[in-house]
Amino acid sequence: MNRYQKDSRIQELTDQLQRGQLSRRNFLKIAGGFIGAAAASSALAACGQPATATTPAGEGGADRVRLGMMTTLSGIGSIHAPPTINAANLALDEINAAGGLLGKQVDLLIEDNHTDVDIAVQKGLKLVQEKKVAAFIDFGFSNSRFAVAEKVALANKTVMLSPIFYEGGICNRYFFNISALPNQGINPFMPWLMKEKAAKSFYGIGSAYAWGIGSIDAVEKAAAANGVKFLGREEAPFGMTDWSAIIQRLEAAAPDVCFVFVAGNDLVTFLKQFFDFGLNGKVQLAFTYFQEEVTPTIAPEFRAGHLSTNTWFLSYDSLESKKFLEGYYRVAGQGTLVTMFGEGTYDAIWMWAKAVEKAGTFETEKVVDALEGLAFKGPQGEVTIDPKTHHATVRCLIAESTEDSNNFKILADLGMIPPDPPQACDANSVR
Amino acid sequence: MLNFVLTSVLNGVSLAAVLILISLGLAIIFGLRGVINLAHGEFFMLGAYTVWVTENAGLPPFWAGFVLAPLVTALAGWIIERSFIQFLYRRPIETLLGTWGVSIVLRELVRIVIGPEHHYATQPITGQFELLGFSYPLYRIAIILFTAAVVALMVYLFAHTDFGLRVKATISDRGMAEAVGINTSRVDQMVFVLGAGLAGLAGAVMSPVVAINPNMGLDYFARTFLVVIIGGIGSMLGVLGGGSLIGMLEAGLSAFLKPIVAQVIVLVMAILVIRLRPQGIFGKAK
Amino acid sequence: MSRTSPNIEPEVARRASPARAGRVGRQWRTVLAHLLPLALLCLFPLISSEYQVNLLAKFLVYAMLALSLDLLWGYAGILSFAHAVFFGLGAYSLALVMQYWGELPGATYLGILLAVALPSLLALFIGYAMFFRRVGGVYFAIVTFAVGAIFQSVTIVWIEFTGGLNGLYGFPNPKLGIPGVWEAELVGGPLTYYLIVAVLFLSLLFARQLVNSSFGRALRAIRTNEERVEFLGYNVPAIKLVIFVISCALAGLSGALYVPVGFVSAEIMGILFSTAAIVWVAVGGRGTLYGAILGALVVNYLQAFMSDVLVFYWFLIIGVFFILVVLILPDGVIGIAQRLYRQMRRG
Repeated sequence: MNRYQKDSRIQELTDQLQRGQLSRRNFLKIAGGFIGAAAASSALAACGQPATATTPAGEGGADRVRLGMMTTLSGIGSIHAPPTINAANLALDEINAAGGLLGKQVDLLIEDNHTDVDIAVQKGLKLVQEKKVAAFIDFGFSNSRFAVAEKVALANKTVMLSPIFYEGGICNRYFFNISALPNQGINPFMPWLMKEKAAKSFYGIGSAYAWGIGSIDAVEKAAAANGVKFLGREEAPFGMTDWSAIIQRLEAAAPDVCFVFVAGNDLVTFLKQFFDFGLNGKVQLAFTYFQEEVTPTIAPEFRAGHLSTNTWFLSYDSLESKKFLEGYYRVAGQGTLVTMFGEGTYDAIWMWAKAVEKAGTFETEKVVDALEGLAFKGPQGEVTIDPKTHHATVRCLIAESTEDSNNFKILADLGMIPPDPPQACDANSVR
Repeated sequence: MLNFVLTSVLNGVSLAAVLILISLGLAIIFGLRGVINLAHGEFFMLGAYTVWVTENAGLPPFWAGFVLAPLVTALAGWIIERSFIQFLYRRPIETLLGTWGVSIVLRELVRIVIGPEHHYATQPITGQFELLGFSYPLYRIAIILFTAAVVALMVYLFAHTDFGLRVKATISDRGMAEAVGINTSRVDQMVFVLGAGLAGLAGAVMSPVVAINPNMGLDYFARTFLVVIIGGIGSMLGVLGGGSLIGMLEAGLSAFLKPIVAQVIVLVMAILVIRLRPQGIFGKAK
Repeated sequence: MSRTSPNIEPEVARRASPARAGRVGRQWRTVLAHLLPLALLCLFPLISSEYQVNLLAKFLVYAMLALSLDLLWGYAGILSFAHAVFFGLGAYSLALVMQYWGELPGATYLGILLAVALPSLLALFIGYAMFFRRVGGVYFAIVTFAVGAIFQSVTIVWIEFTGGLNGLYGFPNPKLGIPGVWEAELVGGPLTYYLIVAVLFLSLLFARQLVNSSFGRALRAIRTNEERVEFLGYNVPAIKLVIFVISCALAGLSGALYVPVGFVSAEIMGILFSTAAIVWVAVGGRGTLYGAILGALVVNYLQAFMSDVLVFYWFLIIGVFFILVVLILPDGVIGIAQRLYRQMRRG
C-alpha cells in the first residue's frame, strides 16, 4: 500500500468529522473505537480499584498495612536513591521480624518520582488516594518537596516524612523532617571553621534554586552573626558546563572558606574545573552535602581535605551505627554504598513505627500527635521531633574527606542540635 | 587587571573551542541534509563514557578512550543512520521526533546498563600554565589547540580531498551529483558517521572537565543548535563564527554579570540575529 | 491496489446512493460521534476513584494544549518549541492573580482573562517580529527554542515572584460562579473535571469551525506550499500571525485550567514540556485535531501505566515508542485504526 492511499483514508475520516458529513462506515469505526476504549477503561478502573476501598486507611487487608515511599529512582537524583531503598528494606525487615506493627505486617510500596515535580505529585497522590498508604516517606529534591507536602500530604491529611536535608520553609501538620536544616549544619559549622581553620572570610557558591540560594543566605546570615566577612556569592543555573568565570571571581575574592551548595552533576563539573584552575589548597571548600558517593568522582590527588557537616557518616562510630551497618550489609550486600540519606530513611521509618505503637492506631491524627516529641535512638544518636515545628533534632558531625571515599575523618562531633527553621513555624496552625 | 582580561579572553576562547568542537559534527550533518539530529548530544555523551569505560577496564587512562571514542560513536552513528535516519531524509519533522526518541533511548540505555552514578576519568594534562603571575589551566589551552587542529583537518578534508569534493557536490546539487556517478547514499552515510565521530571525539576531550553522566549531552543541546543556526549553514566559517560569537559573548558577559543573566542575554542576541539575518552571520543569503 | 479497482467502487456507489448517504444522516452521525465520547467522559466520575478522575482531568488539560499546538503545527505547519511557555504564562497568570488578589470578587475571572491575554500579547510580539521578516520553518523553531529557554531560566531564578522550582502554592483556590450569589471552589474533584471537559469540548468545536472555514483552507495551503500561497496574493505573514495568536491564546487558557489539577512551577515553562506536547500531537496524528487529543491521552496514560509496571525501564520504553511511532506510524494512532480496518476487510 502506498502512503498516498493511507493519507486519503485518514483524511477522509477526519474531514468527514470536521465537515459534519460522517459516513456510516466511518461512524461505526469511531463508535467501535470508543466502545472499545470505554470497555478497556472500565476494566482498568475495576481492577485498579483497590480491594481495600472499603477498609480503613493504610490497611492492606486483614493483617497487612502499607507504607509508601517515593524516591528518585530515575532523573537527575537517581544517584542518591539506592541507599534509601536498601535502608527502607532493612527497617521493614526489622519491624516485620519483630512481629510487625499492631500485629500487622508492613508492606513497602515504592514509587519513582523521577526527580520531577509533576510526577512526584502524581505518584504521591497515587500512593495516598489509590493505594491508601498509612503514611509515606518522601525522598526528593527541593523542587518537588513543597508540592508534595502541599498537594499530597496536607490536601489528603496523610503523614509525610522527609529524610533529606533542605533549606527549610515547609510548615504543615502532616509534614515531618528527619534531617538537617541550615541551622543544624551551617550555624555550628562556621564558629568551628573560625576556630579550627582560622577562617575570617567566607564565600558562597550554589545552584540557582531554593536549596542553593537558601543555604547561601544562611551562610551570609551566620557570617554577619559571627562578625566575619562574607565576600560574595554565585548562583549558577542548572546544567552549567563552564565555571571559569565563577572560579575566576572566587580566586579574585580569595576567601578563606568557600561554601559550595551546587547540586547533582553540576557539583562534579564544578569541582573538576576548580581543581583544574589550581585553587585546591588556596581556598578551603566546605559543604553541607559532600559524602561517600561524591568522592569517587574526583581525581585521587584532590579527594582529601574537604570539610563537610552531615548528620551521619559511614565512619561514625556508635553501637547503633554498627548494628545498622550489620543489618544494612546483610540486606544489601557487603560493602554496598550507604550514605546519610539511607540513615535518615531508616530513622524516619522507625520513628513512624514507634509513633504508631505509641498511638495504638494507624489513624493519621493520632499518629501525628504521637510523632510530636517522639525520640528514637538511631545510628546517629537520639533523634527527637520538635512538636512545634515538626522538624527533628539531629546530630552535627564535621568531617574531612580522605582519599578513601568511604572513610571520612570525623574531626568534631557537635552533638544533637535542635531545629530552628528560617521562617517561624507552628506546624499545627496549618491543617 | 591584565590578568583579569587575559583570563577572561582565554575563558571565552576555550568555551568557543568547546562549542565549535561539539557543533562541527552537527553542522556538517545539517548542512548536507537539513537533518536536525536531536541525538547529537548523546554521541558526545557516548564519547565521554567510552573514555571512562576503557579506563575502568584497565586500559591506559584517557588516551585509549580518546582513540576509541570517535570510533565507537562513528559506529553507533552508522548503525543509527542505516537503520533509521536514511528513511527520514525527506521528512524533517519526523527526523526531529525520531532523533529525540533515539536521544531518550541512548540516555536510558546508558543509565540502565552503566548506572546513574557519577564517574571519574583521568585528566591527561593537569596543572597550570604559569607565566609572570598569570596562570591558566594547561588542559584548557590544550583543548583550544586541539580544536584548531581538528578544524584545520576538516578544512583540508573538505577542500583538498576527493571525499570533500563529493560532499560539496552533493550539497550543491544532489541530482547532478548522482548523474555524474557519485554515490550520494554513501556520501550521506559517511557524513553522518563523520558527524557522530566528531561528537564522540568532543566527548572524549571534555570528559575530564565536566561530569560524566547520562544526561550530559542535554547541557550542550541549546547552544550547539544556536551555534549552527547563528553561524550559518553550509560553511566551516559558519560554525567557527557561531561558536566564537556565542562562546566569547557568554564568557565575556559572565565575567562581570551573573551567569544566568549572561545566558539570557546570549539567547536574546541569538534571537535577534535570526531575526535580522535569518541565514546566519556567515550563511549564504537565500 | 489501484484507485480505480472494483474494491473501491462500492464505497463510491454507496456515497452516491441518496437513500443511504443522505446529508442529514451524515450530519446526525457526526453529532453522535461527538456525543458518544462526551457521554463517556461525563459518566467517568461515576465509575472511577477520585484519583483517576483527577488524573484524567489533568490529561484532558494536556489534550487541550495538544489541540492548540495542532492548530499551529498540524494545520499551519509552524513548529514551535515554546508552546509550554504560553501554557505556563496562562497557569502563572491565574495562580499569581489568586495569590495577590484572591480575596477580591471575580479574581478568578481576572486571572483567566490574563491567562488568555498575556500569551496572546507575547505571541503577537514574537509573531510580528518573525513572520513579517520571513523567519520560518527550522529557524522559527530554533527561535522558539531560545524563547523557551529564556523563560524557563528567568522563572527558575525569579524566585520571589514565581517561586522558582518550588512553585506557587498556598494561594486561594480559583472560584467559579457569581461573586456574592453562588460560588464554588475549583480544587480538583468532579466540578473541575466537568469544567475541563466542557472547555475542551468547546475548544474542539471552535477549532473545527476554524479549520473548516476558508481560513482553515488557507492554513492548509500554507503548510503545503507557502510560496505558492503568497504568489496567489494572500498575506501569508498576517495569516500565520493570526493562527499563532489563536493557538497561543488557547494554550494560555489550558494553562489556567491546569491550576486546579496540577502544580504551578518552573517545570511547566520548559523546553522538555514543549517537546512532550509535540510528541503528543505527532503520536496522535497531526493535522487531525482529534489526533492531538487522542495522542495526549494515549501517551500520558502509557507513561503512567509504564512507570507503574516497569519502574526502572519506563522512560526507555517511551523512547522506543517514539522511534516506532516515527518509523511505523507516521500518521499516528489514527493511522492504526485505518490499518486495522483494512486488515479486517482483506481477511
